[in-house]
Amino acid sequence: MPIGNLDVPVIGKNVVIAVLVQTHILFAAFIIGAVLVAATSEYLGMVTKQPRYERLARNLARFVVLLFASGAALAITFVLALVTLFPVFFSILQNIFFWVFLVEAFMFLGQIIIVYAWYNVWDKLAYRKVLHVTFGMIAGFFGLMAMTMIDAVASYMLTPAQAPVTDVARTFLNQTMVPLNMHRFVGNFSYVGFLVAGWGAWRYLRSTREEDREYYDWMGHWGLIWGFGFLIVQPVIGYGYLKGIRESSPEAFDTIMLGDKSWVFNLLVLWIAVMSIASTAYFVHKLRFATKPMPGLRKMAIGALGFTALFTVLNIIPADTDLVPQLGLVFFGGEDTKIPLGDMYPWKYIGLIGLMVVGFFIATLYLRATASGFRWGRASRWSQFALIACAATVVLTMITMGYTRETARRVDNDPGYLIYNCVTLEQELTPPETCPAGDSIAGRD
Amino acid sequence: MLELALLQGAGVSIPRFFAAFFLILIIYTGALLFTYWISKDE
Repeated sequence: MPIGNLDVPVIGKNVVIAVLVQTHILFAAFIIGAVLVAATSEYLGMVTKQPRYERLARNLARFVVLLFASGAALAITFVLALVTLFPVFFSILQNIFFWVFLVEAFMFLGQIIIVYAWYNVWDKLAYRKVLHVTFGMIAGFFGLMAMTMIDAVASYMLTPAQAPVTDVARTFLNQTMVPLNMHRFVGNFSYVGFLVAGWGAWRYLRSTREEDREYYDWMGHWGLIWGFGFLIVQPVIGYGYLKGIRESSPEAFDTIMLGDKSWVFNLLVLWIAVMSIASTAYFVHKLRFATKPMPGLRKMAIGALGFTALFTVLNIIPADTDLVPQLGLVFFGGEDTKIPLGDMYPWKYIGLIGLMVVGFFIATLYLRATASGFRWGRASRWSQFALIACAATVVLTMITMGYTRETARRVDNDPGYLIYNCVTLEQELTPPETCPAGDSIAGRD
Repeated sequence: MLELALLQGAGVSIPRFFAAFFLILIIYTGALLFTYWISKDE
């Protein structure tokens, strides 16, 4: 018996897809990033002979192995949900991206095999570390390739190329494919870094043995170097990504940057403010424990903290008082009431560029101090709370950004799109003249 | 405004938005905690 056009009671079918995909991504991004962070840490352990790198790498690898099943199960459930709830749309996607999906499936398979082998032969290859690290890197590479394939599909949905779908290169390398891929590549490291830092902080607060306190204190620091270090390059890549959206899908750009959904970026800069200020405050605190006293460096770091706060506040100021129209948060005349310092140009540019420059400055100071070493196991409780705040906030950032990309295609919901200007949310094809890929999207040339 | 949002046929209404948000967090943190729980005695 045919199941027909299904809907899901109470929450609706869009929410089912959103929940499955967003949760899957939180795992998948963690796995890709964690494998590469762990392999790099293992390599550093080999080079520096410091056992804590090895301890972190091995524990992270074990966690990845255990977590893999959850991430994979969500992916399969998502595909099942997509086939069931959006069968027409899925068949269109399959028509366009069959080879991409096929390659992705094999990359995924390769990743599973190598990750498990990598963890399993840890002791066996204890004296052939270079080979073992290479295993980890290859596993990470497979993960990145799988991500690249799905990024081609996801980016095409928002910015379909102005070419028939049979033009493989232009379809695959549509305008936002490369920036999206870069954004996620960098984001994986940042995300994993903050989570590792948060976990280290949590364990540090609960540890009583001196050895464990030293290790978890170091783990928080090491995670934050990854988290913050990669976070500060995201604004440039994000700018490139948004530029691509503006050029290819201007209405989608307007929706998320200027229209009813522009609050998503206010939310994003709020998360960035929390992570930047908490990270910088942690750095300032940590500099007190440098083995070689560096008062001058610390004073400069305190100055950087002030500038970080200044620039993040500049980013947070909304353009007008039409804050979240969907929730009725519209004050003093809404979008007609402009707020001083709220414009994108020049204030947000100053805020974002300033944040990056100060970020590079404080990261350089901190790495300079790291080179001479810290006394571990002395960090205060609040510095660990700052790391935990970063970990919680980075998850919210991921969810906010995922929602932003997907909701951008809704525009004014009249109609919303699954593939921008080509396939509506009701899985209906638009007239060929409105779709950038023309008639080819329906399988006709 | 709330009623207006709920009436949007094609849009995701506010309760659904928050349902999705909390479901994501619950599934995610649930799986993380479960993974920690099964591995902590190793």
